[in-house]
Amino acid sequence: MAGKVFLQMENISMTFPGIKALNNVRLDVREGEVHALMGENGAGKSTLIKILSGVQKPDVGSKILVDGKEVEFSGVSDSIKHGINAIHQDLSLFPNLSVAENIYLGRSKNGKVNWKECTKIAEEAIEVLGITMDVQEQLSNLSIAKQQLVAIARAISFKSRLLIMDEPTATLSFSEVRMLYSIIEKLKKQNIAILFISHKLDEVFEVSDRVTVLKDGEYVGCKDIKELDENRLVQMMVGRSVAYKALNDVSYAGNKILEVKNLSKRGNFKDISFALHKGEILALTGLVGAGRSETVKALFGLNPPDSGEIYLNGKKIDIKNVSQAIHNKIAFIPEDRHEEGLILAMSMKDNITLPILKRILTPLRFINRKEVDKSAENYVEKLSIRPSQINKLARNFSGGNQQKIAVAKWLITKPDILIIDEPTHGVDIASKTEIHKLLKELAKEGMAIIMVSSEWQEVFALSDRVLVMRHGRIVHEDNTATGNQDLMMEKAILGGN
Amino acid sequence: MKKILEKRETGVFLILLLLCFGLSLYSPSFLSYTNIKNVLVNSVPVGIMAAGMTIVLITAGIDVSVASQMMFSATWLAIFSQNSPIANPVTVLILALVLGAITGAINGFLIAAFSIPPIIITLGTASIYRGIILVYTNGRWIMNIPKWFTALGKTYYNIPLPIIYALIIFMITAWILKHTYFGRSVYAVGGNENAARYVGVNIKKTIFLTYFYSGLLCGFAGFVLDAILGNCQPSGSNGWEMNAIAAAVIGGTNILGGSGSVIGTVIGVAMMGVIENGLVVAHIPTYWQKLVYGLIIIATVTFDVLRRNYADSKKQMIEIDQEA
Amino acid sequence: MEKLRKRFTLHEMVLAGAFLLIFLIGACSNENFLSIRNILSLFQQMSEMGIMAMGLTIVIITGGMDLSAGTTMGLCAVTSGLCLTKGLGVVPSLIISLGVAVLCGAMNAVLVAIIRIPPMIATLGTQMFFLGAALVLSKGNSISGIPESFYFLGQAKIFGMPLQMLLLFGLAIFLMIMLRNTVTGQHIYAIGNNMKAALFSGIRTKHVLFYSYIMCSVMCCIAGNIQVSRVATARADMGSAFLMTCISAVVLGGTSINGGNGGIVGTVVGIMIFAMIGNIMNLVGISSFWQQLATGSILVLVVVFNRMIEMQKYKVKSRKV
Repeated sequence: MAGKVFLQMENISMTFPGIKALNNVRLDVREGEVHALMGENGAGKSTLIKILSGVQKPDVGSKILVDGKEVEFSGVSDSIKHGINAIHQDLSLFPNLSVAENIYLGRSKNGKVNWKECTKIAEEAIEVLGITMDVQEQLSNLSIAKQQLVAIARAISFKSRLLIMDEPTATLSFSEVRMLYSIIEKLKKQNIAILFISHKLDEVFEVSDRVTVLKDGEYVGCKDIKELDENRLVQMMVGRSVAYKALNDVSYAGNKILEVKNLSKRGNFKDISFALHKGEILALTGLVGAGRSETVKALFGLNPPDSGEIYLNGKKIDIKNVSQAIHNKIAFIPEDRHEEGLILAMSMKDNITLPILKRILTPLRFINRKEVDKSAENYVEKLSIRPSQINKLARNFSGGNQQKIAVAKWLITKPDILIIDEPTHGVDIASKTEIHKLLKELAKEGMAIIMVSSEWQEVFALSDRVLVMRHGRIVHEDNTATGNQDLMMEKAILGGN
Repeated sequence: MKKILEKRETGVFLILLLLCFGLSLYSPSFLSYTNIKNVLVNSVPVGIMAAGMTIVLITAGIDVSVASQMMFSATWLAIFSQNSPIANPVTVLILALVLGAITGAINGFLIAAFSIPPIIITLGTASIYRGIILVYTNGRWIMNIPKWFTALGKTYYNIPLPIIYALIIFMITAWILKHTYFGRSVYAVGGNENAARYVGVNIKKTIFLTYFYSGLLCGFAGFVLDAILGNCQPSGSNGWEMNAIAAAVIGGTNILGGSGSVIGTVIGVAMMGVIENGLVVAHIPTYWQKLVYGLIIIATVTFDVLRRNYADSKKQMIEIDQEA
Repeated sequence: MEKLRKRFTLHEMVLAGAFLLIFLIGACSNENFLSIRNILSLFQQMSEMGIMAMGLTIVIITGGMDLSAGTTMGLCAVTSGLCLTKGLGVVPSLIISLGVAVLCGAMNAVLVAIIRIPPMIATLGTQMFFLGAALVLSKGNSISGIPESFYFLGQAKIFGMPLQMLLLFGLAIFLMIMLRNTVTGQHIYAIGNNMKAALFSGIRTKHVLFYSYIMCSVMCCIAGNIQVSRVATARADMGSAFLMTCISAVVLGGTSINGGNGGIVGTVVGIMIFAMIGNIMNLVGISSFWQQLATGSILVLVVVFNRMIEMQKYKVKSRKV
């Protein structure tokens, strides 16, 4: 069924400052095959796709071969010239233009628009997909599923040999997914290969011919789907390799401090219920898009729920905005420490003291500069922030130290509950250990910690209990040390039952 | 048919018809030929500027220097027509377009090359262009524009020439928006700038041409203004840029960019002219105009933004499993 | 020189240089320039614009804009004028005028902070609306016959110095302290730098924005009342001509148009520079039309120059309305 190999990626490495996203990865694609690319969050899938579609340049030594000849992509148009078209998750379409124009725009850059040609090309592309659509319809009037089809149509109208899709069924309903499968079949018949990233095992087993698995930036293997079953595939994805030092042999969990009952918010999460204890580290895991960040943001006043109750120390409370959350001694360290956690143009000391300015005033209600300096220096020492110049602008610190500043900023509010979203995302190995030790220290001192994490190693090494979310609901809950860890990982991917 | 009914422009058009109907009941002279002619002719300069403004707004930009550009052109044209031996209808027209091209190009260059917010640049150039003509003329009116010039603004066979000019401009602008790569790029840039870059649209070039074209139209508007009025007041037409923006926005051009049409703007211009006339007919003092326009702009923009906010929030939602 | 370089930014040094340059030109161009009478008159003229510009500074630091500043001033002027000529006393008139200012600022804040209309557009609309309101209230006429009891604001002298100059400096000090030493001030800079991070840090962004826009409108109100008192007339278009110059002064003074930095001192220096230019032109006999040309040119030059330096440093590419 599948033809010969026409695309080969060899020795692909990608190094970012401090992190090796890909290390000697390889991938090959056969004509007309459906090839799945799998791995956990952070495995390197997106990076590999970016390299293949010309958006990112890999390290020296990496090779891409098309029909046996080595090629170099210095931009998106290069990869398109070789027949490789990527469809991003945001579709890169124009909601204010018609379907036909979305497919056609950019082709002829001179003078008059040839509407006849536009309609023709669009209708041809739609026909290849075997669906009926009014190409004059404005894109924004179509459902996301149909818009995705338009993105696919555009990609194949460029005479593609390979179509790359990133989580194509993430936002589709059941029937729309089946429609997409049939489209994929049609594309196969046209000898167009498809490379897609997916977390959904059932989907991978249904449509793909082969699957390549990445883990922590390394190539695990590429197998015919017929040679695999679900368990073996999951094993390839999560198999234990780099072991984090297990820090959860001692649990400091004490009394219940927080109880959440039936928290729901349309389009975000539903029926979230759990308890949190003092000194406990509770991990909230699941795949991207499961609704974890949305849920914890609700506990911080950034995403107030539609319904449900929150009890703090037995008393019912409302968290309608961030001020109220801080008032209730809840702190939140966002995943994107850069964009959301720090104000890069302000000094380190100003960043650290920002949430508590109201507490360090002089009698005249001015900011107490001495206190600000003192507080900042205190945390510089506590967290070993280097260099220790508190007046230095936050943007001039290294990534790892910026993380520490973001953490210091919240620790200074002396919270009872700390919510941290992906604590070691994008952090180098040395800092990872430091941050883990810090979290355990805080738990020992009685702080209750909710840790949103996609790294199972981290979850197993650090947490006392685990909550697994999928599609906006909690699908599994267990004690980390004594529970069935394989089951936890499966639930994240497969969901309930 | 349903599609036409759903369009924003249709709604505005119906409101316009209602207004006209109501006004004609209130005062029968409203529908007289003379009155309609006056309303339309007086709206032409703003209408021409509004056409250019439509394109600017679609790119999510703005140009508050249009009135100044128009007066810049009008002033030099008036002086040229009175003093130059080679002045005649053709050379005056060419000069108008050249002047507009220059002022528009300056705007376009500064905005595109330096990525500075259009509002700031055009706020500054508005003062510069206005300042130049005020300094040169010392603020004095230029009276007695030659008869061959004003003849270009008169009515022949019951059809006012300015209306013809406006119609030509509208048709050209509509054609550019609909049938040229530049026009489609304008919509692309305004609709999703990143996607536009992805499909190879030259963002900077598109932005430059947008303001360049707006300038051309302002230059032409100056020509028409001189022809209609027969004199030129360098300090005049203050605030007309707001009228141009209002006309476009009322007519359905989204202030956030991405959508808009010439037809809508035409209806918007007509609407503003009718409102102004209506206030006169109803013996409401003209100083109510600004208040009414201001309210209309605020209401229209609020409506557009709220609509966009709602659509954005829906996009963020995920699908939740129906059973646990 | 090195020490200076570390203490002051390039922009600040250029600004100081420009100030000195203009001052010297003034001193050389006309013997009256340095006279006490002229200097005091200079301050008297610039205080109205200066107060408006300081209000604008706050809004611009939050990353926003208030194009309605000029017409707010006009509306407050007309309100005062009407109250005064209808027999209300000085104090009630001022209070009502302030009340109108608060409403104007609140309206701007609602559009920008709650409905989230881009500040440029929102205040473009309110600019027209406030002017319209002022025209309607004044029926398009100048309001004259302002009672003498009101003259003190714009015409009185304390220890020989014009009252409005003292007001200008008093307000400058007040706003400077607010921005540098209070929590609200710190929050204003935070919002201008990174609205999202500010929100995530527990800053009540909506509250701060309301504060900023209302503060700006109140400043415009004060400026308007000073002018009414000075010329003993109230007109709807008072202040409209100031807007351009005020924005230019703020940007010239070192506050970035995108927000997050800058301050009162720079703005005051900027206003002084523009006031001196106007003053020199008057003394030398150059028509005031040159001022408009000069103001616009300076704004464009400063903004472009700043941007060129920025592009060198950070190679940033973005376009905002």
